[in-house]
Amino acid sequence: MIELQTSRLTLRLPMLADWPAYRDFYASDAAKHIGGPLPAVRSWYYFAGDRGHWDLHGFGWFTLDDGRGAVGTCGLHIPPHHADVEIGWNVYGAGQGKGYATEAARAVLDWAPSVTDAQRIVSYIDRGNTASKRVAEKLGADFTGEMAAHDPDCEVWLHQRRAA
Amino acid sequence: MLAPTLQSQRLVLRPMRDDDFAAYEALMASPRAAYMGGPHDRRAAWGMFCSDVAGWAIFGHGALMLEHRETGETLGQVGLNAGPLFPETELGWFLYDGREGAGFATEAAVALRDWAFAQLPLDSLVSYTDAANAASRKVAERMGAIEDADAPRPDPEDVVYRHHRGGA
Repeated sequence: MIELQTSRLTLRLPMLADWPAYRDFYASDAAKHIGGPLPAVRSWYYFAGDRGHWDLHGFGWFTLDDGRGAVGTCGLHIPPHHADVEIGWNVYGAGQGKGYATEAARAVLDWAPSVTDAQRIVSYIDRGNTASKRVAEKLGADFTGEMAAHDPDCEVWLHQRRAA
Repeated sequence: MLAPTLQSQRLVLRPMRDDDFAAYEALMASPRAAYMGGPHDRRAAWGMFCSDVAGWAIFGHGALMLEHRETGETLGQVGLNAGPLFPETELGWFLYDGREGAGFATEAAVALRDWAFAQLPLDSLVSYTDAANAASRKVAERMGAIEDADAPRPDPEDVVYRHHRGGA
């Protein structure tokens, strides 16, 4: 069982108990930069799909757990419509503003070379998502000046390579 | 749990793999996907595909691909579906274009039904079929499932078949 630990968070595989928080996040306006708001019939496929990605690729999205339950998600994925492996992060309402996304993403970037030999790890960030861009900057990523091939509203941010 | 591999007379029912996605996506984009809430674009199909895989980890049951024992060809999928979108655990199936009519769906669905009743604490399973999907309804009927007019269903237009433990 893969699990990463940061100073305040446990990054663990998604489980069914995490679904209500995930569903509520995707149903809210806070999901507007990631294709939401979405009804549960749609977000369920993303939720379960996040778990299935692990079995297909050996990596995927973690649930961020602050010791009391799910406060967000962060992970690596490579859907067929993406050009590169992406690191993504979402922090739910109550956990926002605490630096959780940056803390979790650092751990995921450090772990990445052990599960993928991808030459590039990017983040696709909606041009209006200033909070997420700030996280990318804190992580040391740079905006490439390009927009994502799969979504003209998403900027491509390139992360610095970590040693394997 | 990890997805098992099951055998039937002509088929191997095996775990899904990344390279199954191309054919899965093509089916979900085609007019035939109308019986499965589609057609679905690539992003939606990928979510469904990964969700099918995840069933085993989340619920202890899920989907398997049908592979022909002799040719190795992947013919379709059979699955035990659950989650907040399903009132009950569902046994579902599909075949790829041109693979219908040879009894593969029935053979695979029987194998997974028998696995389910041997491994899971369920008294019955349901299959949700589109009223207009005559081929799929025939599979359920050939398996001995009985139409259940009172069962809750995700779509009011669905016809629900019930499979009972111990046959019929």
